[in-house]
Amino acid sequence: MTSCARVVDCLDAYHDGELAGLMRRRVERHLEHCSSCRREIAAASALGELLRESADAVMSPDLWSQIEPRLAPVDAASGVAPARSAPAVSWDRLRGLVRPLPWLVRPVAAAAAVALIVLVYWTGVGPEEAAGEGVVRWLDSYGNPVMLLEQPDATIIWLVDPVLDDVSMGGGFRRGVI
Amino acid sequence: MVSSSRVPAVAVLALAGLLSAAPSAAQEGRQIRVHLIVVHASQTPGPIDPDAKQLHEQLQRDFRYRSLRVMQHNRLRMPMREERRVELPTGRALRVRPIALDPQGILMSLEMQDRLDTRVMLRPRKPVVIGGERYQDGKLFIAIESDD
Repeated sequence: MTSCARVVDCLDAYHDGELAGLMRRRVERHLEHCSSCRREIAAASALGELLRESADAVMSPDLWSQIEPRLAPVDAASGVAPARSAPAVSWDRLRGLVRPLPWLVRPVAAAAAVALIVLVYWTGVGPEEAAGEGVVRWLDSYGNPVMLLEQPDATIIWLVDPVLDDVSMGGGFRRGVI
Repeated sequence: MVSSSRVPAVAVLALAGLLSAAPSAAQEGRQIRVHLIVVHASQTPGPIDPDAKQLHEQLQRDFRYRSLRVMQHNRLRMPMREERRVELPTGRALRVRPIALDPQGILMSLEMQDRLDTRVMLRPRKPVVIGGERYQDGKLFIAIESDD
């Protein structure tokens, strides 16, 4: 039986259907006898399914009502929410989680990139081209959320009120509350 | 001393330099004219200010309000790269500065203290509207439109 060390680097390609011929048969034969590698293939399939589901998911209209109670309370005097301490996760620990499943790196990196794009758009922070047609060339909103509404006859920069405005990341801007 | 064989090359370079600097110099001397209005939108029932009729048509698709009142009219004239400051009713100031002329319009820098710092392309007949600044029982909209 082929050892795990010889096929582990090919599991990613096998899972993505990129292996052919002799190499594919070698991995298939190995998987028939190796439960450990079968579990890793199953885990990769499950993750792929999860990512596809989350990409297709429709944001609930009451998303904001679910998020709002989890936000830190704002100090009435200062108007500032208390800072939250970051969870203590070391890079070594993360690397240890990733190493046994090398083919996870690509989908996780893709998911992280999508999350970053959403975050930049949501916070309005970042020296980026931010709106369609290149109308907005640069935008910084000091950490406050901003929505850019590109209308045929106007460009609207809406300084979002996180408490009052009806905004969801999935559905975009719905209604500014005056 | 410049040798005679190099004279044409130097002349070409100098001419190219002058030609490339010319549009920039022309931009520097250009006066930019911008019309800026500040309106107050509110849920308190009231009229739509006739002076804000056009803005109302642009806003009513995305915002619900029951009254719209023009609070300020500003016609700004400013040379390229020179800043104008508009005091808003909230006490904040909006700083407006034309940065560059482009075939598509005027690249403008817009800054509102602790709230917004952006560069937008102001296109002919297409205003840029900044909204959301809370004031009294409603919100302010600041519409900036090229007057050229």
